[in-house]
Formats: sequence, C-alpha cells, structure tokens
Amino acid sequence: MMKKQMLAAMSAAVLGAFALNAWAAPAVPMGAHHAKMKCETCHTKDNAVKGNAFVPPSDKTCEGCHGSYAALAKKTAGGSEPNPHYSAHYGESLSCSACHRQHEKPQSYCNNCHDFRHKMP
Amino acid sequence: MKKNIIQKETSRRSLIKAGAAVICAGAAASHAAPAPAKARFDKIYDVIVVGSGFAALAAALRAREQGAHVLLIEKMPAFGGNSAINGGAFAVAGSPLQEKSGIKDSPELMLKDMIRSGRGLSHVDLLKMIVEGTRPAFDWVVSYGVKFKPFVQHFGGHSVPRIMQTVESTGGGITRPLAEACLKKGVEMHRRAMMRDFIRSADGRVIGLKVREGYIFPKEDSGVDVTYGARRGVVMATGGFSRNIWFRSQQDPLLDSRLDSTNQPGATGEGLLKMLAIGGAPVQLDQIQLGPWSSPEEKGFGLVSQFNTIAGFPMGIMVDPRTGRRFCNELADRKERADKILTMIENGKPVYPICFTDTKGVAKAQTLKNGLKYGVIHKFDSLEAIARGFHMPVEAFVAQVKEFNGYVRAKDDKQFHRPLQLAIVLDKPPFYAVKVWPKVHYCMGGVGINPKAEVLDVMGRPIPGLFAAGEVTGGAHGASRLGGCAIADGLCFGRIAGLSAASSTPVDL
Repeated sequence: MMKKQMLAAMSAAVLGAFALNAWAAPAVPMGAHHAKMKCETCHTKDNAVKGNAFVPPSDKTCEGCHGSYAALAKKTAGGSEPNPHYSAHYGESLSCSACHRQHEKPQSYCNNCHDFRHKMP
Repeated sequence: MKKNIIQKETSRRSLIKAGAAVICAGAAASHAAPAPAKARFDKIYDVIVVGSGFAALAAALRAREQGAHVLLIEKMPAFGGNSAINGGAFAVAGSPLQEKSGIKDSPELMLKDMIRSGRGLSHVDLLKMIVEGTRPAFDWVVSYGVKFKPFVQHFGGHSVPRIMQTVESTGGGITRPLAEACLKKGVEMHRRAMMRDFIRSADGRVIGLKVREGYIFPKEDSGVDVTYGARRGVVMATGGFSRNIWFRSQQDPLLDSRLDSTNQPGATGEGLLKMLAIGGAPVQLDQIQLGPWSSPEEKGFGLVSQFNTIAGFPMGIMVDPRTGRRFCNELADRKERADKILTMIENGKPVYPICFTDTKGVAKAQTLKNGLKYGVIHKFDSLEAIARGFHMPVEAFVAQVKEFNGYVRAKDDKQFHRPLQLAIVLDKPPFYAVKVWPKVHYCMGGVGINPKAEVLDVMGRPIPGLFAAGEVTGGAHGASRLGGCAIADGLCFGRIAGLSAASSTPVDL
C-alpha cells in the first residue's frame, strides 16, 4: 500500500514534468518486476518523442539491463519451442515490446500466425 | 552487434553533425543532407518510404544507393510486413539455376504466363517492367546476401519451373538482409511509426507526411504526431488489405469475417485508403486472391501452406473426402484451385478437401516436423488409414490413388491435365495428409501506377511527388496473381520506385 502510493505520487511528479500532447500513460498496472522501478528506467528522455517520454521505449533501453538481443537468443535457444528471440522472419528486428508489454498482458507476436507454447513472464 | 535502429527524433546538434559527416564523406552536392526543418516539418529527407516489406526495402535501398537521404517508416513493431512471413518464393525468368538445369525460360514466356493467369485483366505495360526486372532484381538481392535453395521449383500456373526459394522458406530470408543493408548504408528506419496523412503543397505535390511516432498497433490514438518533409518523393509500399474485413467484403461480399487470412495483422490497407482519399485511381479493387493451400486447423499462413506448396500439391493429390476423388488440377493457378475448393460446401458448412503425399514427397517439406508436432499435418501408415482417418470411402480413395499413379507412370494426367514433371508415384508409407481451405491472401487491386511507379490520379495524371510499389498497387496481376510473383513485383517495382523518387527534381522545403 505504501509502495503503491509512493509509486502513484512518483508517477504524478514525472507526468507533470512532461507536456502531454497526444497520449497519456495507461493506467493499467505494470508487471511486478518493473513496478518496483522508476518510470524513467524505461521512459527515458532519449526515448521521448517531441518531449513526450510515454511512448514504447527503444529496444536499446531494454537491452541496457537485459543484455543484447543476440545474447538473449543464445540463452533461449534449444528449447522445445522455436527460439522466441530469433526467427528467420524478423531476425533482431522484432521490437522487445512487441511481445513484452508492461502495461498489458504479454502477447506472443509469433502467435499471430503460429500456435507456439512459449511461456512468457 | 545489434543494428542501431533509430526510433526517436534527431536533435539539432545531431543534424549539424550529420551534415558535417556528409560533407566529410564527399557526398554528391545535388543530394543535400537532412536540413534543420523550417516551421512546417520536424525533419526533412529526400525520400520517405512507407512500409518495410519487399517493395519498401527495395525502394529505400535503391534510393539510398543513388545518394538520397531516406527515411523508412513501419507502423508495426517489426520490419517485414507480409513479406517477412511469406514463403520466400521468387519467380525469376532466366535465373542461373534454370540455365544450369537446362530449363528454357524468358521474360516473354513469363509475360504470357502472367497474362493468362490474370485472365486478360493485367496491365501489360506494368507486367513488362516486372518480367524484365526479375533477373536483375535476383542478382541484386543475391549481392546483398540473400541465399536461395539449389533447385528450381514449379508453381501452379507457370509453364516451366522458375521459382527460386530462400533457404529459410520464408520471405524473411530476403527482408532481413535488405533491412540490414539499409541500416548499414544509412537509411533511417523507424518502427511503430504510423503514416497519418499526406502533406501537399498548394499545387498538389506530395511534399511530406504526418506520422504518429510511438504508435502501438492497433490503438488509433496512440503515439505522438510528427511531420516529415520529403524533397524528392514519398514511396507508398504499404501492402494489401486482406485483414481489413470491412473493406475487402465491400469488394467481394463472400470475403466476410468467416474467412481467415494468411496475412500479418497490420495488412489493413490504410496506405491505399490515404492515396484514394487524395485522388489516387482505384484499380481492380475487387480482385482479391485466396491462398488455396491453407489449413482450417491453424491460424493464418501457418505451417500447412508451405507443406502443400512444396510437397502436397506438386507431389501428391487433393481429394474430396465425400468421394475420395480428385476434383481439380493441383497445380492450376490459385484462383482456379480456390474456386474449386470453395464449391465444396454442404448444408452451409465447408467440406475440407484432403491433400496428401508419401515419404518421398515430403523430403523437402521444411514445416513437416512442426506440422506434426502442432497437429496440423497428420501421419498415416497406409492409404486405408488415411481414408478412415478422414472418413472417406476407402475403396474409392485407394482406386483414385492407383489411377493417379498410372498417370504419373504414363506422364499424362487424363483426369485434369496437370503437369507431372515433379509428380511421384504415391506408394511409400508413411503418408502425410492435411485438411485444406482457402484464406484471403493477396489483393491484386490497389492504386493505379505507371511504369515509373508514379501514382496516377483518377484523371490518369501522375500525382507529383508520390510513388507506389508492391501489393498496394493495382493492375499488374489482373484477376489472379501467380505464385512467386509478389516478390517479383515487390522487388522490381520497389527498385523502380526508389530510383524514380531519388531521381525526381527536389523541391525546396
């Protein structure tokens, strides 16, 4: 409860720092892991569009903490399902947030066409 | 190392730096660096390409090769569009492998095949640009690292084998190398960037775009509005509208929501609609192709499409499960096959045909393993088991297989006159079978263009500054597109559009 209130206050402060002109941060709670962090961990100044930081972050931001796309592909290779971090269709061009959404349930982009059984965090 | 994909605005300092870099690199003086924008635009380029499939990547790379400063925008969170998920089959008239295999082919023969397939509706001036361009485009993509299988394939409707397929059996085998080449050569590429509108000068020339950066498909109100200027041209390469159920069913009421599509979710046609809205000429919008090789047991293009294309149709047979009998030439073009399949409706419900081949036939089917794993390709130890598994009359089915095997030995299909060059006697268990039902696959219609890829208005005049290529255009394929010709069209006209845009007289912005 205390954490939630602090987070809400922090969000309000951050929101106030930016001019919101076309889009507002969704109110849906984010995944448990990132919920412990500051908004600007992902919504950095560098990711802002015309000063608005609340757009999907660049993959570089994700990779800054989680490692490169190539390293992740190595880590997840060899499972019973096709490698979620590498495919012949997209290589490394599929954005992290195409699947790993933080303000909504995760969703496998592969399963727009396939029926893979990836377990997503 | 991961490619540095730019997804945010460049600051003024970076612009100046970029300008300095271009000067140091000795770029041609006629192609100015991106300039600090006047009040109207956040940033100015020479050429802006919308989309990221075959046509878009070809246009962007070709324009960049001419020294133009290029921005490519893609509304989805991945590059490639439908191109990245298609079967990677490229029809090439006069490929090195055809020459090596002794296959006699030519642009003239390919032109005849495409005219016949188009049922006489094709715009021949556009077709000529495609058939003359396949070999140069093939050599071009190979020079950027695209790898093809070491054999030529024969697809339905083509009179000779001429299909070159990527080793991955997917168009990603082309889009990935081309996207990497674009990045390497300095094309700026943005994902999650949705084109919202054209910006035109007072005299009607397209001089830029309003774009929503940070867009999250399909949330209409997501993202932040940005404006980009295009000194030389905008190339629309936004693909078809197979996923736009409203618009496709306006053209053909049979294509309602009950029919799935092979397309990626973003194939909703906004780019086409924007061009029509500013007076682009609509061409043959009701000519919408169904893919005859899909399975009702899986979503979209799935795994069965590739299985049928490379194994089931050329090396097996397709039968009506009510009779156990064949009902069409399995290598006829897509329209003929899809139309035949769609007649198989009983009491308002589809009767799914069964397509199968034997162990020899599946040798090159790359999706076999996964198809078995996910239950969309079915394995049987005997012909009788196939018949029982799909509730077909056993004797009639077995007799049909025997009859077909006779045609193969005699090299003459007396039932449907199918070319049998690749056919095999179906005699070696285990057998592999699938259910078949068509899905909305390709929109032959689109905006009108001329052989220079300029977009034509409803009076037949080019709209200055506006070019288009690939599936978003209409006219080339007429009533039915031949397999392998979407890549041909996308790459050939993409290259033409990129060259035309880069060569256009620039306007001062």
